[in-house]
Amino acid sequence: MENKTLDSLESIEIIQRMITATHDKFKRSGGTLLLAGGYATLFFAALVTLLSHLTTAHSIYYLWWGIPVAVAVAAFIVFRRESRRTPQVRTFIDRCVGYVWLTVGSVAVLYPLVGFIHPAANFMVVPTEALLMGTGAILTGLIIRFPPITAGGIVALILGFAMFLFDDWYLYLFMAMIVFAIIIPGHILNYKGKCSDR
Amino acid sequence: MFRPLDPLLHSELRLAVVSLLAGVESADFTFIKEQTRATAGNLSVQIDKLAQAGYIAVTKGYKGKKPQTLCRITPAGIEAFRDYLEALKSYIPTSMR
Repeated sequence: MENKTLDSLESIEIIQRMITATHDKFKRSGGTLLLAGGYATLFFAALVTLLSHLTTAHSIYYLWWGIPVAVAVAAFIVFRRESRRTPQVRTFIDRCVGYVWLTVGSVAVLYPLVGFIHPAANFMVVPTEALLMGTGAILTGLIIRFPPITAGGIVALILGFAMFLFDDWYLYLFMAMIVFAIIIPGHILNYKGKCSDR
Repeated sequence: MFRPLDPLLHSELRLAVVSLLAGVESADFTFIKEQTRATAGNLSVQIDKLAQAGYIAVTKGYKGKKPQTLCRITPAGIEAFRDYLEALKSYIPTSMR
């Protein structure tokens, strides 16, 4: 691109091209972050499920606290790697999605603390976390206009409510929720990101 | 009646930079260079002109150990871009709008 003057149609063509360049930019880091968080959550959920069959000790449920730690570490590594590898651009959509997950994430981390005050609330922690993740996923999907994430969020809400009804199966339903709401959309987002980079 | 077009924006590269920044919150020099396919030298000169006019704000810093130039459109830049688009409409035949 040079520094020549333009006619009106050339001006419109440039404006259109530049605006499209920012709108259609699927961020690969978004998919990678979903996958890192999704697999970390799935690992801890599977570990708790396995241990719940082997022991009756309630201390195994403290392993749930591994999830926010693993997600925070994964987010730090992904953002650091992406910021070094790719040119930086921050859109208004990035900011909106960031605020959604800051809110959802804060509630998701703070809510289980209620269980320390009212032990009866512990029963509801996992289904409520699923509902929170579903809400975050639906909002993210709608903001970035990416139907697989919205669909995953709807599945998470359905499975979250199902956990209240089928409480014997809540750990399996939670793992299914992670796969459908986070891991599968994460792979699709990464695939789209690779396609848009070509 | 044709409305005058802002000469600062009515140039291929400067218009591309402002159009790009109008759609994002901030973008670094490398991203703008990739999208506009301009040379670093030419892009740098045009960014300076836009910054001097107050249309964009430029922040120089470091990303790790590498220098990073972040650009952001200013309210004056948004206003100028909006006026440019309005003026541009008068050059387009009614049948094409």
